[in-house]
Amino acid sequence: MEKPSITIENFNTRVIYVRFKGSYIAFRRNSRKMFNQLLAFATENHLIIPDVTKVLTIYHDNPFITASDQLRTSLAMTISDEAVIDEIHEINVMRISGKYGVGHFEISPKEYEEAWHYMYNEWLFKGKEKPRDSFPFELYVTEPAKRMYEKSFTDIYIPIE
Amino acid sequence: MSYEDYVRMINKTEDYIEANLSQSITLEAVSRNVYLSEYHFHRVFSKYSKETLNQFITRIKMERSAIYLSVNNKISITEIAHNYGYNSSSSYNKAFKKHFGMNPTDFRKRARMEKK
Repeated sequence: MEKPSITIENFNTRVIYVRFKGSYIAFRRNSRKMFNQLLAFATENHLIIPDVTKVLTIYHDNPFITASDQLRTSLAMTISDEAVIDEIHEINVMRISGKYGVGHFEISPKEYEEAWHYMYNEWLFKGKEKPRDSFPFELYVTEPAKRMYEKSFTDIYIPIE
Repeated sequence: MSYEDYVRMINKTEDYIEANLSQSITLEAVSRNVYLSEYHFHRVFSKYSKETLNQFITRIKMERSAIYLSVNNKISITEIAHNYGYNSSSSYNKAFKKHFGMNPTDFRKRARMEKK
């Protein structure tokens, strides 16, 4: 994995999301179905803005602290501030805001763990930024690769003060 | 209320708790957040959840505080207790030990060892 460039950014965006409760392996098995749920809702409600709308995965818990059957992971899609949403089925709306250290990665599916490790253990814990009490997330700049050896652009957002 | 409605209600309640970690969270507040009466909220929550509402709120607060004290070595336990709506570090310590089986200081030390 190549060392990422890291920027400090203020993020303030509304998202629609579907939340999964269970292990990360089970989440990965369900993520396509969850994405299709979000996409269908977003399409039906005219929420998709070409080249602007992004998809995120939000990690609310830590697998070393929370029992695997209780781990919460949300698949989310950015929406405009003006969008009027009628929350139905399992679709919710929330706002993500605050300051983040953002690692800009070009990685394959098998390199995600290494990228997260880098952001916490190499950048956050050895650097001067202070962590903020909020959840981190991945933002897919380009569509995630479908094959293990293919790469895509993903930003990892770490909340900081 | 269907299971899907319950999931949405729980998601909104989790978001509410996470946005109000420093507050003492009541049935009245979480019910109001999802536009339900206390009676209706309690009935739906009990129907689907294995935890009581208090256990649910405490678990989220304990796990969130454990994440934060693991990643932020500089913040004191007293400050964490205050940030999570506890009146004193001793009441926070007690709740933490009940949940994790060790006090926050030992938990932090263990997390530090695992990072190395």
